[in-house]
Amino acid sequence: MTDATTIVLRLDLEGDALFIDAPTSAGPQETLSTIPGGVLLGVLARWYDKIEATGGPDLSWRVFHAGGVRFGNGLPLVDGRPLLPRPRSWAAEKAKPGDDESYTFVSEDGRVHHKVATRFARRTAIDHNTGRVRGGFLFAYRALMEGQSFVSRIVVAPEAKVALPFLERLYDRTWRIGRSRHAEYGRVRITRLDDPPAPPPHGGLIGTNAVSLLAVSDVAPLDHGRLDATLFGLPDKWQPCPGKTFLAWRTLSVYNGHRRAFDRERQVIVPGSVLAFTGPALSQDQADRLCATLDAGVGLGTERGLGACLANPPILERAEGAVDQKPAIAAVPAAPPDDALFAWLTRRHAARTLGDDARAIGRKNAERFEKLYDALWREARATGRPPGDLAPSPSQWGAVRDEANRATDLKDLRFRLFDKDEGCCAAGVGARVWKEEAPGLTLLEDKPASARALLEAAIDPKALGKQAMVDLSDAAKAELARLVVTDLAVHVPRLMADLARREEAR
Amino acid sequence: MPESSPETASLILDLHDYWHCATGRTERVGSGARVVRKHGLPLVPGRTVRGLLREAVRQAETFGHVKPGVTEWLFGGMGAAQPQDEADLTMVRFRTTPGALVVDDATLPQAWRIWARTRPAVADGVDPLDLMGETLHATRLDGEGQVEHGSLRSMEVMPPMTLTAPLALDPPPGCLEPDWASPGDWRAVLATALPLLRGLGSHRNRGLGRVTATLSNGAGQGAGDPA
Repeated sequence: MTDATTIVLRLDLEGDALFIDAPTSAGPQETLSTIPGGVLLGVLARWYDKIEATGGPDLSWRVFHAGGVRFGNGLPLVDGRPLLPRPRSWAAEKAKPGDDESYTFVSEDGRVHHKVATRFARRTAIDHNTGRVRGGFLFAYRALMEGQSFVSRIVVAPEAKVALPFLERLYDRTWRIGRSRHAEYGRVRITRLDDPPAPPPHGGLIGTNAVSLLAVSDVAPLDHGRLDATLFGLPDKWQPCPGKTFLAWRTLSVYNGHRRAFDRERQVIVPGSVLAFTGPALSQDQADRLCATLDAGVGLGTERGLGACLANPPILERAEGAVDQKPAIAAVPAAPPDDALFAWLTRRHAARTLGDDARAIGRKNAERFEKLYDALWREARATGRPPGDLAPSPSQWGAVRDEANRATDLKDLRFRLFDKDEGCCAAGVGARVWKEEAPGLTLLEDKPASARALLEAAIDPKALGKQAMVDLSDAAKAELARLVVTDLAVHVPRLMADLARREEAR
Repeated sequence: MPESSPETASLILDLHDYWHCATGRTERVGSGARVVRKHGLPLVPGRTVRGLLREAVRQAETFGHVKPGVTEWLFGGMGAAQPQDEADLTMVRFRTTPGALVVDDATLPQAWRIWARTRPAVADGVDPLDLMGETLHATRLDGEGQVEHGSLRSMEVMPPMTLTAPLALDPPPGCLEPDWASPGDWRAVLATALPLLRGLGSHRNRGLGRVTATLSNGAGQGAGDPA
């Protein structure tokens, strides 16, 4: 007899996804924290007719209903290994209800804790007759967030191997699965893992007289509420141990797409539950039988991932608390987008965050302009010329402000201000006053002081980088230069007015 | 059931004005109603895009610009009658039909999404993406032309931008495909109906959300990036 074939699939969420297996219609729809195996079974059911045509109704029954193909739940994949549900025995005291732990998973050694990320969204429907919100149709989803990965094991029994070619169609493509998959939700990329991680092992069982079973998936016992040891493959003399059992139940009702209805409701044991049994020491044969029963799945619904349990896994022996605080691995930052919207956002951000820097730099440079104007106006009075002949007027500073507002980057700013043919400080009739130098005044190290030279020095990138309080990117320096020019264009005319008033007061 | 990959296209939404796609959540202090975002980037949810497309196609079908049956083919049907009570609501699902069109969120280009997911967290200072929106305030006037007490409200709006939504044709079992439909017809239908889509989001009859929608036959922006 040949062995069963195991296919391990990796499921990467390319969009938010929503998996619900309860027929609730009130309140927000909360996703399961795993990807149910039944969802993958539902994808395979697209080829139900073809599978039945291949091997008749017996084959389709074996594949889809009798557990000939068992689709395991998709468990969270973190750091290359699938995680297990957090054991409910880890609560501090059995009597106290703990937090909702259904979204928390742990590694096999218990050292890594992971909470599955979810996203909440509220929606409504629009009545197309009125164009208004349709009454009574407000609802909310809490879905699994995109970017997460899960691992599902599919076990194909020898008698169902005819289905293998159809299973191959599941992977290396993107599917839409789960709720609301025709709009926004459910995009999942499925690939096959050629070198999959080993399944989590059972613990030591030979010679033991205490077995604790960890429910890795929902477990649907054949007899509701009666947890017989033989259901799990233990000898019939073994008895439940209530003091070490940590159980929780929920209602499960799976949606059948073919019948367009929910299947009958079942009460299932939730993942993370711990069932403890005691009895006479297990022999080798009994231990093997226990493992075989658990590996084949326990109870009902094994074809859709129910009934997965581990016996005495090491994680149950580990006390909670000793958790590795691994630093999150930061992603390599990608280059920022190169479009007009991002340039606009950068400018907006710079205006908000560099405003103080720009003001400080502008005021420092304004002191130089004050000295320049003072010297030029004294020269004008001494030579009998109007002051406007020697220094830029307030309207010329207004033109500078307008050009600064329109500039897209530093190069464009310099072009608009200083280009010999089109720059407002370099071209045309008004250019002369920007070049006037104050006799005997030394404000710059390497050149005579004129309004143009001072303005050029104010927006020199190296000088801006030194004067700013934080490290700046080139784009940020360009924005700072623009803000400095704008500040000068507003402040220097005020200085001119102050100078004029002081002169009149003499 | 087709075994090949579904046919795809991209819906390009060129927004010309401030726009607001709501989350249903508000802030007591701050911008009021917030725009839907993922990783800090604004988007138009896929369900919203789907509803807008359905309305445009339905209008085009009503006006006779596209052949009958196309709305139910692409977006599904609710059945002939509305449910009368709870029991009828249970039965009415058997009279509904699924649609063939799959619509995803309309988002900024992939370069934006990769940048937003991989950029370092903003420890101090202002997150640039928080500055993308503006806040509009409004009040209501009473019959005497005075501001009605307690009517001040605010909402966050986004600036004009271009968003792209991937579309795919993936008819599920039970989808009513018209007899006249042939491969590629769905793109022609959408291209015919899209001029009827002129606004999206909240307050689109009050000056927000003016949009030009076009269809590109490309495969879209790509199905998301692995984390």
